[in-house]
Amino acid sequence: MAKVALCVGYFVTLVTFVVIKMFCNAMRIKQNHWLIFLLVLIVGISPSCRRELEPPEVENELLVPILKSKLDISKLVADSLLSADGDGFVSLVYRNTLYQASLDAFEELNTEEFEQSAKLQALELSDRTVQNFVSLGQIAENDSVYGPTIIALNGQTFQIPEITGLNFGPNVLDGSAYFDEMTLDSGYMKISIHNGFPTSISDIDFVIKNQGNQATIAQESFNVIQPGATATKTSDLAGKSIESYLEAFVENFDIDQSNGPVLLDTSDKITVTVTIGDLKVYSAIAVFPAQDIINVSKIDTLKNVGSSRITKAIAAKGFVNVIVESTIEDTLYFDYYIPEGKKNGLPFEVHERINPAPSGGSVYKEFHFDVSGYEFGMTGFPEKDSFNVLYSELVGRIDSTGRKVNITLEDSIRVFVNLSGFIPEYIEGYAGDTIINIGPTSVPIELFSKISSGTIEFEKVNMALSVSNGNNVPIDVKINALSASNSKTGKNVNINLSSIPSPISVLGASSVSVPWTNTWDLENSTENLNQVLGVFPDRFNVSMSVETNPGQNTSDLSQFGVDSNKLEAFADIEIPLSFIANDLLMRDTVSFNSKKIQKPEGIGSGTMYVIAKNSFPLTADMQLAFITTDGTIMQTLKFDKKVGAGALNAPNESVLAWEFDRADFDNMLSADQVVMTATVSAASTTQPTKIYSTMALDVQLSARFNYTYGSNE
Amino acid sequence: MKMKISILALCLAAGSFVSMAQSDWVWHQYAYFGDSVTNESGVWVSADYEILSNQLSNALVSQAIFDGKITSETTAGFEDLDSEKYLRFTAGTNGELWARGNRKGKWRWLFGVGYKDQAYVTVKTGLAQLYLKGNAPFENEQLPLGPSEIIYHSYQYAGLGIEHGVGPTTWGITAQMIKSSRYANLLLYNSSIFTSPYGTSIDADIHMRYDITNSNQSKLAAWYGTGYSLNGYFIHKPSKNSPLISFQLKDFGQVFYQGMNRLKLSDSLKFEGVDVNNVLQVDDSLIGGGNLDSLESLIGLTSAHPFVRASLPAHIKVNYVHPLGEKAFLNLELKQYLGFGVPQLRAGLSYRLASWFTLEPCIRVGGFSRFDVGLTAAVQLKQSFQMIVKTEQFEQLIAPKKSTGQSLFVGAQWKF
Repeated sequence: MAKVALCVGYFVTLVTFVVIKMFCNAMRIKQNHWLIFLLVLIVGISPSCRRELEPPEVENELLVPILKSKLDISKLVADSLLSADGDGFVSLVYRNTLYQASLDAFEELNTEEFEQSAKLQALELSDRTVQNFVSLGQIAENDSVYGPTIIALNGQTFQIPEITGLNFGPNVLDGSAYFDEMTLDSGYMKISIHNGFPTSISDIDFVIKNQGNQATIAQESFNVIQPGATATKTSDLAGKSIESYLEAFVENFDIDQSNGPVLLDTSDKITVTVTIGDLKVYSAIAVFPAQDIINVSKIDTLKNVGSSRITKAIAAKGFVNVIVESTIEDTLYFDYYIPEGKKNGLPFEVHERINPAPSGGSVYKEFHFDVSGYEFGMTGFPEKDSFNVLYSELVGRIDSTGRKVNITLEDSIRVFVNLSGFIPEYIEGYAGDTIINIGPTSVPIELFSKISSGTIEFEKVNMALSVSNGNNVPIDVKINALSASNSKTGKNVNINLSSIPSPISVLGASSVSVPWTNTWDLENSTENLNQVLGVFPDRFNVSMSVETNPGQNTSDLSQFGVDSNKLEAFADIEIPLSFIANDLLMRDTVSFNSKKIQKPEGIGSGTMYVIAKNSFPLTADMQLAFITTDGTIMQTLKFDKKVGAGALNAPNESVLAWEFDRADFDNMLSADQVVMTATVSAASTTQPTKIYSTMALDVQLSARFNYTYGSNE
Repeated sequence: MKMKISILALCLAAGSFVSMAQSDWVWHQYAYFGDSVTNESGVWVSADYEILSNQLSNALVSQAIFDGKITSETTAGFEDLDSEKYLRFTAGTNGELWARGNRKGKWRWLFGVGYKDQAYVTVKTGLAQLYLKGNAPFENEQLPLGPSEIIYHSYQYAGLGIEHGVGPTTWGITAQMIKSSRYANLLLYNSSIFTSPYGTSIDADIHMRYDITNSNQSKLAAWYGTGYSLNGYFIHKPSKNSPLISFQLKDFGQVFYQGMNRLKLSDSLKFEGVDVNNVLQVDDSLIGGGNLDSLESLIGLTSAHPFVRASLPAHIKVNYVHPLGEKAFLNLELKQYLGFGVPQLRAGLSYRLASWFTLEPCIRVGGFSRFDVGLTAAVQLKQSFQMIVKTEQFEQLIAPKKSTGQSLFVGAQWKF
């Protein structure tokens, strides 16, 4: 840009020179070119020679507020731990859980896997009927002796003579639409002959054979059938192998002489009706009608129940597992029922299908059904007089598809069923009797987590043991020992439990949503508890035993348990904040991410102020330590005086100052954490100091420091 | 002769200069050389710099310009000044060249080019104290910040004019076209700031408007605004050895800017620090986000890019030259900016030591300064070439911490 400016400057100079020269020529002015040029050059380039001035840095002194905050008792202690009376007098209310657990009954319960295998119980085929006939005219056509006469006298009366040795057939009976072949386990063939002639027929021999192998399927003889009458004979088909095409023969029949002249009608006929029925197939390639081929029911016993007697359970999770192996070459449908398993009023039922097995092979399939949320009756079915059992039913069937399939009674189906991963969320019955010994174990206390040392004595301390039982199971709780300790100092103080019963009898809850609770106060315990609190404990140490169903009344099946409901034991502490305290060292550590601070580069030395308006009747000596993650202290802020004690509605204003220099500031910014420490003492060492909810500490932080404005350091 | 010309040329090339109006050469040549011949053609050129203030010391200014840093030692005692009074300050450089033709009749043409690069500051002392000292020295005090104004112009121009002279009276008028390369204007209305004891709060009542052009390009290349200015003058000198009086109106005009960068604020602010819900649980977002420069970000500035019509720092100047015998002249000058500033009076007593050399001690009071003393040296060659150097730099060299003004002017004219 400087070069451009210089070029522009020279251009202006040149233009100005030319203009002046022209002006001089016009005005006939004497010219001294070099002087004019020099003057113009100076004017022309001087704009480009002038330096662009930058704003200077300025050393000044700033006094700025940084932050403000108000600390009342709710900021020092969580709201859930505070209680205030009508005057605002504050008490600490603290509940510490000593023990909590749900019932043992909520372990995983499974059933044994049951296997059900069966061959096909029976295969049935539908009844079929075929009808055939022969007319008088057809017989006359085949008889050379009397036939022409009969035909000629059709419609006239004529005494029919005896005609013997007649026969007709074969007439083909076609069953190919229903089967290709079959071997019958049982069945019948019924042959009915209706005489439609005007005279009786006799000595009728009837035969049915397989068209293919000419095996005789049925053979019957009829003596005489009067005109208009029907005669029926039944043949047994058990063990017979029948083809789809059958031939029916009437090997012989005689027409008896009519009783006088009769009206001749060549359309009169003899009708043969063949019916096969009650077919139970051994094997067949046939169209099978819909039928159940397997039907079983079973009762399974739950495992892992211990001494519990469960009459009902609602599953939190679990699966019914079904594995099917089948050789049946037709689609197999199976239904699995647990009649006593219901969800939203609907029973547990599964409907699945197995595809046809390949010819000569088998098909295998697994099913897993989620039973979570189901309520299972575990008393048996249909008689409900047991416990810890699960009743189920399995039915397998084939449907009529209209398609011919190859099935034999050698085909089989194997089914494996079990209940796995069953964890109840609710049980009824008898919850079992167990004794659990707990501890010695420790549970943390947060109440004094920020106090490291000092002395404190409360005017009064109340402590109670509370028990809550969310299940309807009687329990005895015996607390063997209870103490409080400080893990940093190693101090331990036993808590006097002589005023509470041992064991503590815990009754069952009246409903799933209303637990049974009771509280036992530790009486006259202020002195003992002050000793306890005086070590600023960070843990309770407890040793106890819990016995469910101490009376072992196994006939009490009215108990219930919910997996989310627990037996809980608490130590409840109530401390009215009226105390004498001296040099309580309170410490808290917060993270400090100085990398996010856009460091004002121009900051030099200065003074940091803490302006505190304090209405707590407590003095506080404050210190901030800036440390790295490995604990190295980078900078300590120690103020020149304490925060003075105030009083309710009479706050005391204190101004604390800390002088720093640039190096101190850099040290602070290199820290990762800030440890805030306050040494607190009550205003009076003889009379207890009371804390009210309206008391507060208003804190403002400001700084006076040298600052170089415009610094680009 | 050649040596003198060379020296003169070098003087012209050195430093930066203060403008001499078209009519200034008339009273200059009369006051320093007793030369009343004014109808010749000629060229005059002048340039100057001035840094004047009624309260800012030369030491402080030198630090700001040459060191780039104003130290607290230099501003010691500045916090004791009356905050309600006004601090005036002007600094800048100007240069111009004007050519004129022969006036054989009544009229002649004028043609010139020039530049101005100058700032004018009229602010409450409280504002300057806040800038130079910070707010800490004014704990528990209401520090006035306005009404205050800071104007800065940097422009180049080319002009044409006519002059008419008959007998003892001459008048002229020129019109300049202006190419503006920089402009800034900070206007603070009634504003103040109060810092509570121990800095528990800062209460600021700020009403301001700040216009500024871009500064990406160099001053010569940049053309951010276009304007005009008019200069007029009237000179009366009844006879050859009579007193001379000259009236000038200079820099009467405006510059027009499209899309000026404007920041505006009109608000009462109270800052008591960041409100922390629970100082015992100060989280990362508070500690991590801390930024002391955020005091500026708390002020809700609004920005805009409006069209701006900026007036030039017009002023009137009256010069009176009274001969005291053949060699001595009393020179008086009164200057007043229109719309701001206080009158400035300059008085000098020139004495021609030789036909070609004159000295003039002078004093200046008022205007943007307090009291300044100076010395003028003028040389003349063959009555056709005159050069004048005025310096008010003695105080800055002798007592920089106590003096508050400095300037240097170099002018020359060549008549032919």
